[in-house]
Amino acid sequence: MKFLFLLPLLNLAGFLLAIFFGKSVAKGKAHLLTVPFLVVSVLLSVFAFGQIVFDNGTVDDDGRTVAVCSVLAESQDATAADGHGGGHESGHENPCEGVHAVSAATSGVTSGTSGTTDAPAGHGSDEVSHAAAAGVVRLASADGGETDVAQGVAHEELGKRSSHGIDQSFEWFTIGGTTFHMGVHVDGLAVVLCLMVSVIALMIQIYSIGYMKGEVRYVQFMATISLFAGGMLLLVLASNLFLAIFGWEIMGLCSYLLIGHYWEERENQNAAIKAFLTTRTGDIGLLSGSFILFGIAGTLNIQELNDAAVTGTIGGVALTTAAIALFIGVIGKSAQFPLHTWLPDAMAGPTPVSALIHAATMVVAGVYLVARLYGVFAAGVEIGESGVNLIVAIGCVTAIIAAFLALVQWDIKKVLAYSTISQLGYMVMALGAGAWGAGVFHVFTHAFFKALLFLGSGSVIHGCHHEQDMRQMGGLRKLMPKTFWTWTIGTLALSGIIPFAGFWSKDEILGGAYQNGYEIFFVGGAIVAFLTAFYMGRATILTFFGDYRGHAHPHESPSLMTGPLLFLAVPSALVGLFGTPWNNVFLEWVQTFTVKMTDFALFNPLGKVAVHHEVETITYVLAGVSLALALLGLGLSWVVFQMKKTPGDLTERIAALRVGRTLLENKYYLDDLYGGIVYTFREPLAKAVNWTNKHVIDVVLDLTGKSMIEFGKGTYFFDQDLLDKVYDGSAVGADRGGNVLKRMQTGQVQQYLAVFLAASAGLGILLLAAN
Amino acid sequence: MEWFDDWALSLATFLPLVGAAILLALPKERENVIKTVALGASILCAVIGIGILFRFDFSGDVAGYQFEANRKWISAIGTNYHIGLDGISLPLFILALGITLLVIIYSWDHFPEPHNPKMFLFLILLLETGMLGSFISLDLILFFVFFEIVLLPMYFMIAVWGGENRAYASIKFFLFTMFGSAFMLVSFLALYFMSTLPSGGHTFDIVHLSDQDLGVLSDLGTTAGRWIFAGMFLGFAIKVPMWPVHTWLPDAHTEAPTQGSVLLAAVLLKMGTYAFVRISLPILPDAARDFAPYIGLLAVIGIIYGSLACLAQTDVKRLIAFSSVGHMGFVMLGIATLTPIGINAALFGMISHGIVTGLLFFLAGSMQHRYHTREISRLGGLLISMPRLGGLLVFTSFASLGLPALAGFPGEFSSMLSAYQPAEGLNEAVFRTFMVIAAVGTVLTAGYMLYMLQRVAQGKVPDEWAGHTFHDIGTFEYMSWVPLVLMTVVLGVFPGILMSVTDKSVMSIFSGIFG
Amino acid sequence: MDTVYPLTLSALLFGIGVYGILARKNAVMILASVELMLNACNINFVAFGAAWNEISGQVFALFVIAVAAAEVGIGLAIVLLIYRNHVNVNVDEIDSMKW
Repeated sequence: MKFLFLLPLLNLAGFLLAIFFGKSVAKGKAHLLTVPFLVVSVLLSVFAFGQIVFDNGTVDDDGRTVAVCSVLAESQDATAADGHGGGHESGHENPCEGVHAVSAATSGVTSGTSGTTDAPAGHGSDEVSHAAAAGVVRLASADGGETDVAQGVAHEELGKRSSHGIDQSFEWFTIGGTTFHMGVHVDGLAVVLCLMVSVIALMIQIYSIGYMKGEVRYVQFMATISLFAGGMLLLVLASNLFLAIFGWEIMGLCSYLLIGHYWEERENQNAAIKAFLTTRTGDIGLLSGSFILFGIAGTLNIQELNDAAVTGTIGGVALTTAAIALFIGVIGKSAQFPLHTWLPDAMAGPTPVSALIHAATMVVAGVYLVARLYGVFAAGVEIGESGVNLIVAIGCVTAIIAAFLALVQWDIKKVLAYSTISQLGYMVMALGAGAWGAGVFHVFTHAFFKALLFLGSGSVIHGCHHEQDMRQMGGLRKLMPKTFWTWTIGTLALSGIIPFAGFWSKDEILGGAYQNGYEIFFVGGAIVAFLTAFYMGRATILTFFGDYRGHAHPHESPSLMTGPLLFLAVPSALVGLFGTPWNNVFLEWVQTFTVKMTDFALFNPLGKVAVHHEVETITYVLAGVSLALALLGLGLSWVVFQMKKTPGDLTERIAALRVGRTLLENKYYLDDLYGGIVYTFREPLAKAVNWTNKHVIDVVLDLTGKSMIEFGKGTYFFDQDLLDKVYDGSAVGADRGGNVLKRMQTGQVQQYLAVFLAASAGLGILLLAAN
Repeated sequence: MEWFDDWALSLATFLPLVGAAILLALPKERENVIKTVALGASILCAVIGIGILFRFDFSGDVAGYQFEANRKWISAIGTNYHIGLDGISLPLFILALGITLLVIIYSWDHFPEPHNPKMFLFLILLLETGMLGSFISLDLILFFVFFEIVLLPMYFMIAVWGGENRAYASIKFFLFTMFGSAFMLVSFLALYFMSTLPSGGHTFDIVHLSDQDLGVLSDLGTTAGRWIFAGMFLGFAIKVPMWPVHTWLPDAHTEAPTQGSVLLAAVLLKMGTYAFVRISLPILPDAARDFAPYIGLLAVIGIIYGSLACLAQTDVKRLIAFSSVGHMGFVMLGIATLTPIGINAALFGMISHGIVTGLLFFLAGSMQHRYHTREISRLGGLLISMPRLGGLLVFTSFASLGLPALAGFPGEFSSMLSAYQPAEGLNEAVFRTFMVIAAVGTVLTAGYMLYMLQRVAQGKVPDEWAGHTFHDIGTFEYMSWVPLVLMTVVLGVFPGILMSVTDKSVMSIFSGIFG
Repeated sequence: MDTVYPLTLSALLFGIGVYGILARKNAVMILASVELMLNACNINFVAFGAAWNEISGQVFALFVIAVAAAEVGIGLAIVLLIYRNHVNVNVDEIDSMKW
C-alpha cells in the first residue's frame, strides 16, 4: 500500500512516453509504451488489495500495526446477537480480539438492524452497556496495548489512526501563510477503487488494441487513455481537495480529447465541447464549494474536512452551502439531472472511450467525491435526518428519467449511456440515503458490468461494420456467440438477477434507502429496477435475437476484443458475492482505515452493515421485491419484443393483436394485454420524457450556449461601438477643437501683433487694478 | 561579491541600453552582427539575472529589499536613484529578462515588414531597459520615468511594423496610457508634498512612504488619500488593463507585430498590476480598503466582459487580447481582496499569464506568418497542416483556460479562494458574489478557447490552402517556445517554486497592514 | 523739469509706433515703426533714470539701442529676402504660415 502513490505517476509516465516516442515505435504498436505501466498499476493495486483483505491493516510509519476496530453499539440493542467475547475467525491473527471500541450512541439513533457490530472478527458487545454508560472508548493496537480514552478523545484518536491509513505527502506550496500538501491518502476505499480503475483501464487498453487498429491518431489515443487513468487514480488517491481537482480536471481534458477523437466531424467536436463545458459548469459549484470549505475549515485536506464536519467544528449555513455547491460539481461530472445531456452525446467517441469514461471512471468521479467527503455531505445536507435531501432526490429523479429515456433509444450505445446515467442516479441516491457502503459497492460492481456491456456493444458495432442502430441488428447470438454470452451476463448483472453482481449491490441500495427512512426513494428505485431490466431486455432482444435485419455480414470480433469481454464477465458475475448481506467483506475492505465513516452510523446505521450478522427478514423481503421486479422486467421485455419478432410501433401492434387471437393463447394474450396496457402507459410517458429531454433540457442548454455567444456579440458591440467611441470621441473632440482654434493662425503678422498688444494692455490694466 | 550586489540590478537594467547604443553605431546591412549584438546583450542580462537568482536570499530572513542601491539623483526635486529587489519584484524581473531573450531569439528569422532589424532590435532593447527598470524602482519619480520609457519603443513598434490599422492603434495606445500617467504623476507629486519625513522634508521614496510605522503620511486626510489613490488607480488601471479603460488593448495587440504583442502581453501589462501591489496598496492602505470593492467589481466585470467579447471575435489575435482582459481580471480580483493569499494569487497569475499568453501570441504570430491572415474563418485544420503547432496551440489554450497542472490554475484558484475571505473591513457578501461570478467566468473562458480550437485547430484546412505544405515549427521557434512550455508545466505542477518566493515578501508587507 | 513731459513724449511716440505697426502695409515701414517704439522706450528709460537719479536707466537705454540695431539688421535682411521671393513687401499678402 505504500507504493500506491506511484499509480498516477506511472500512468503519467506512460502518457509522456507515448506522446513523445509513440511515433518512433513501430506503427500501431504504441500501446507497448503504455500497457506495461497499466499492468504495473494493476499489480500494485492487487498487492495493496491483498494487504487490505488479508492483513486488515498495515504497517504504519511507526512500525506498529494499527488495526482499527470499532464497534458501534446502539443503546438498546447493546446485547448483540453474537455477544460472545471470545470467538473470532481463525486464520489470521486478529488484533482486535478482545477489544471493543465503543462509541456510545446518543439521540436519534435507532437502527433497523440490531446489534450492529463491525469488528472484523464479529465481536460481541457485551461490555457495551458499561462502556456506553461511561462514554469510554477502548482502543486497540496490535502490539497489545489497550487504552481507555474518553469518547471525545477517542474521536481524535480514531481519526488520527484512521487517517493514518497511509498518508504520504510533502509540502507543496505555501500561500498567505497556509501550506498545501501534495499527497496521497490510502485507505480501504482508495485501494478498492484503484483496483477497479486499473483493471478496467487495462482491459480497455487491450480491447482498444483490437478495436482501434488502423484508426487515425492511434498513438494519441493510447496516450490519452493513460493520462486519463492517471488522472482518475490521482483523484482517488488525493489527500486534499486541491489535488483532487487536479485529477478531476485532467479527466475533463482527456474526455474532451477522447470524445472528440474523430474531430474531423463537426458533431464529434461539438459533443466534446458539450461534455467539457457542461462539466465545467458544474465545476463552478465544485470550486465555490472548495473555497467555502477552505474559508470555514482553513484546510482542504480531505480527512481534516471530514473530521471537522462530523465533529461539528464547521457547520451551519456555510457548510450546507459548500455541500450543495460541491454537489453541483457532482451533478455535472456524474451526469445527474439536469446536467446529464452531455453523456449521450459523448457516445460520439470511440466505444472503448465510452466504456472507460462513461462506465467505470470519469462519471463515477463525482460519486467518489461524495463518498470521499461523506462527512461534509452528510453533515451539510443532513443525511439521515429527514426523509428527503437534495442528494437522494436528484439521484432518484435522474435514475427514473434516464431509465425512461433508455427505453426509447434505437442506438445501442445510447441505451447504455442512459443506462449509465440511471445507474449513477442509483449510486447518488444511495449515498444520499445514507447507504454509503451500498453506494460504493454499486460503483464497484457497476464498473465491471457496464464496461463489459459497452465493450460488448463495441464488439457488436465492430462486427456489424460500424452499425449502431439496433433496428439494423438482430439474431446476432448465433453469429457472435462470445459477445452474446458475455453481454447476457452483463445484462443479467445490470438488471439485478441473482447471483450476478448487480443484484447484490442494487439490493443493498434499495434496502438502505428503505431502512434509513427514505421509503419514497425505495419506490423510485424499485421502479427503476423494473425499467432497467425492461430496457436491457429490449436491447438484448433487438440485438441478439430474431433475424438479422441489417445489410452487413456480422462476424465475431477478434480475440483481442473478446478476451477482455470474457475477462470482465467473471467479475460481473461473481464480484457481487463479496457484498452479500451475510458476509459483507466488501464493506469491510472499503472501511479499512476509513473508520471515520463509522461515525455516520449516527446518521445511517445501514452504512455500517455488519459483516456477520443475522440477516433480517426485511432484507429478504426487499431483496425479493427487487428480484421480482427485475425478473418481471426481463420477462415483459421478452414478451413484448421477442414475441413480436419485429420492432415497431407497439400501439399499433396491440390493436392488431387483439384482432384474431384465440383463447388458446389466452395466457399469452393476458400477458400481452398486461404488457400492452402497462406499456401503453409507459410508452407515452417514456416518449414524453424523451421529448422533454430533447426539446426542453437540451434546448435550454443549447440556448445557454448560443445566448452566451449572442451576449458576446452584444458585449463586443458595446465595447467597440459604444465604449471605444467614447475614447475615440476624445480624440475627435481634440481634433474638432483644434480645427476651430487653428483659424487664429491667419498668417498675418499684423494680426498677431494686434492680439499681442491687446493682451499685454489687458494684463497691464489687470496688474494696475490688482494693485 | 559585494560589488555584484551593488551593481547587479543597475547593470542588468542598463546593459540593454548599452547594447542599443552599440546597435545604433552598426551599419544596417550587417544584419548578423546586429542580431548577435542584440542577442548577446540580452543573454548577458539574463546571465546577470541568473546570478541574481543565485545570490538572492530566499529564506525570508532578510526583511526588506535586496541588491539595494540608493544614490542621490536629482536632489533639486528630492528624488533618488533608489532600486532594490524583493520577493514580489524578483519573479517579474526574471520574467522580463527571460521573455525579452526569447523574443530576440524568435526574431532571428522573423522580422516583420518593413525589414529593419537594426531599429527593431534597438527598440526591443530599449523596451527591456524600461521594463526592468520599472520593476526595480523604489522611488516614485524613478518608477515614473521607467514607466514612460516603455511607451515610446512600443509606439514605434506598432506604428512602423504593425498591421493595417497600426496608426490608429499605436496612437491610441500611447495617448491612452499617457493620459493615465498624467494623473499618476499628479498623485505622485501630491504624495511628495503631503509627506513629512521625521527628519523634515518631503520624499518620493516608496520604502519610506509605505512604511506605516514611520508615519510619513500621517497628515494625510481620508479625502486626500482617496483622491491620490484615484489618480494612481487611473494610471495603473489603464495599464492593467481594467474595464472600462481597456479598449486600447485589443487594438494594440492586434496591430502590433508578434514580438510587440508578446512583450506587451507578457510584461507591460504586469507593470500596472505590479504598481498596485508595490505602490498603491502599501502606501495608502485606508484608501485601498475603501476602493477595494470597486476594484473587485471592475475586476469581475472584466472577467465576464472579456470572456463574452472573446466569443464574438473573428480575429484570433483579438480573441487572445480580450482573453488577457479576462485574465488580468482574476489578478485584480486577488489584489482587491487585500489578503496575502489574494496578492500571492495575483502575483502568480501575473507570471503565469505572462508565460501562457506570451506563448499564445507567439503561436498566433506564427500562424499569421504562415496563413497570412488572422481571420478565424480563414484559418483551420491546424492539426492537419502543422500538427506540432496545432498540438502546441491545444496545449497552450488549455493552459490559458486554467486547466489544473498547468500554470494558469493555481493563480485563478487562489484568487477566487481569497475572495471568500477578504481582508478586514471588506464586505464578505460582496466578495463572495465576486467569487461565484469569477467561477462562472472560468466556464466562459473554456467556452471561447474551445470555440477557437474547434475552428482553428480542428476541422479541415481551408480550400485556399489546400495542397500547400506548411512549415511546421522551426528551429528558432522551438528555441523560444520550449522554455515557455516547460515553465507552464513546471509552474502548474509545482506552484511552490514561485509562491515560496513571493509569499514571504507578501506576508511581511501585507499581513500587518490589512489584518 | 517735470518728468511728465518726456513721458508724454515717449507715450505719444509709442502710440504712433503702435499705429504704424498695426496699420502700415509696407514691411519696411513696420520696421521703422518698431524703431520708433524702441526709441520711445529709450526716452522713457532715460526720463525715469533722471527722475530717480538711477544710472541704470541710461544703461538700459544703451542696451536697447544695441538690441534695436541688431534687430533691425536682421529684420531688414528678412524683408529683403521676402522681396526677392515675393517681389512685394505687402504684409497682407505674405501669409504662407496660415493654417
